[in-house]
Amino acid sequence: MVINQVVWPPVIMTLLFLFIFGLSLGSRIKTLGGVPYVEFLLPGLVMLNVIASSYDESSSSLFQQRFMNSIQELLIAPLSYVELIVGFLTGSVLRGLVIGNLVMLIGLLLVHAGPHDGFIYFYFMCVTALLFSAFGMIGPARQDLG
Amino acid sequence: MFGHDVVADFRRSRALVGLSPQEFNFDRFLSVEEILTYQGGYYGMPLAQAKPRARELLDQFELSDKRRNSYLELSGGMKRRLSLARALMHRPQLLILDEPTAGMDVELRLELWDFLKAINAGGMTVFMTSHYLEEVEMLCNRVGIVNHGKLVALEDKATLMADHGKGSLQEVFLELVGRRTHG
Repeated sequence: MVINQVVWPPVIMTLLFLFIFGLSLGSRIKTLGGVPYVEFLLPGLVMLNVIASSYDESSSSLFQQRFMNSIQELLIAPLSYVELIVGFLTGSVLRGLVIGNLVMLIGLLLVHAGPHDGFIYFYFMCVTALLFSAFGMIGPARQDLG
Repeated sequence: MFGHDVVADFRRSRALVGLSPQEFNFDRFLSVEEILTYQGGYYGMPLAQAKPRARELLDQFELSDKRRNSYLELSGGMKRRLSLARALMHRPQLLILDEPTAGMDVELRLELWDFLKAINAGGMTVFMTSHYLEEVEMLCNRVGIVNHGKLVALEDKATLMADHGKGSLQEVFLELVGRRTHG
């Protein structure tokens, strides 16, 4: 199932980062800017996963659909180009949000650190996911027949 | 396209066309049923409408027991049937078929011919490309012949054959493309 390829790698990678950098390095570096090292690490991990997963989703989706020509179905349908792009972006942003929040949840459970301001947290997560989803579409779109 | 401009009024003109391409281009992550319901969705059919229509087409094309499988698990003939079912999902008025019987076994080809004759009699316009001239001669009312990218003939079948005074479409074709007639 696609879920296995999409959800497990970021989860396992986050756990690895937290254990390796958090436990081993964190025990040697007491605080950084007033917060424990692991707490300092967490926002970076969340953003890393939001960026990577949203970029990968739109990039691989568009590339694969162009390569296998399954995008032909979309092109002959009565959909405008704007609708097609919004469709790709929506899917990628959603994946970015799901993975990002999953990583934050892991952080909450393991490190007991969470977002300070819910609104700012979601705002930046959404904007970052949208930006990198859009970037992700550039590569496959410009490639000659994928 | 039936009175609608294909660029300015693309939503209505595209909704009237169903395409069954030569190379299979299904999404490998979707089940057979999902391929059909998604197609319905692209043409504005809500799921409540698309699902029964998909079931109806799956029954008609005898793909019901494969409806949860990926298209990769289907045989060549089944994929061709799925391609047709997908093209018919949104009840188009024009069906475009690219090499519909290429590589098909005899039984399936005969069934397809019967099916095409039936939907054509029911009012569906069918536009097909084929390399099998016997099939074209049997099925089509109007024939166009393309040679090296140029349209060298576009007429009613009867007129075309009468004008060239030949017995079969194959002989007309060979004459038009400038090769020796066979035998």
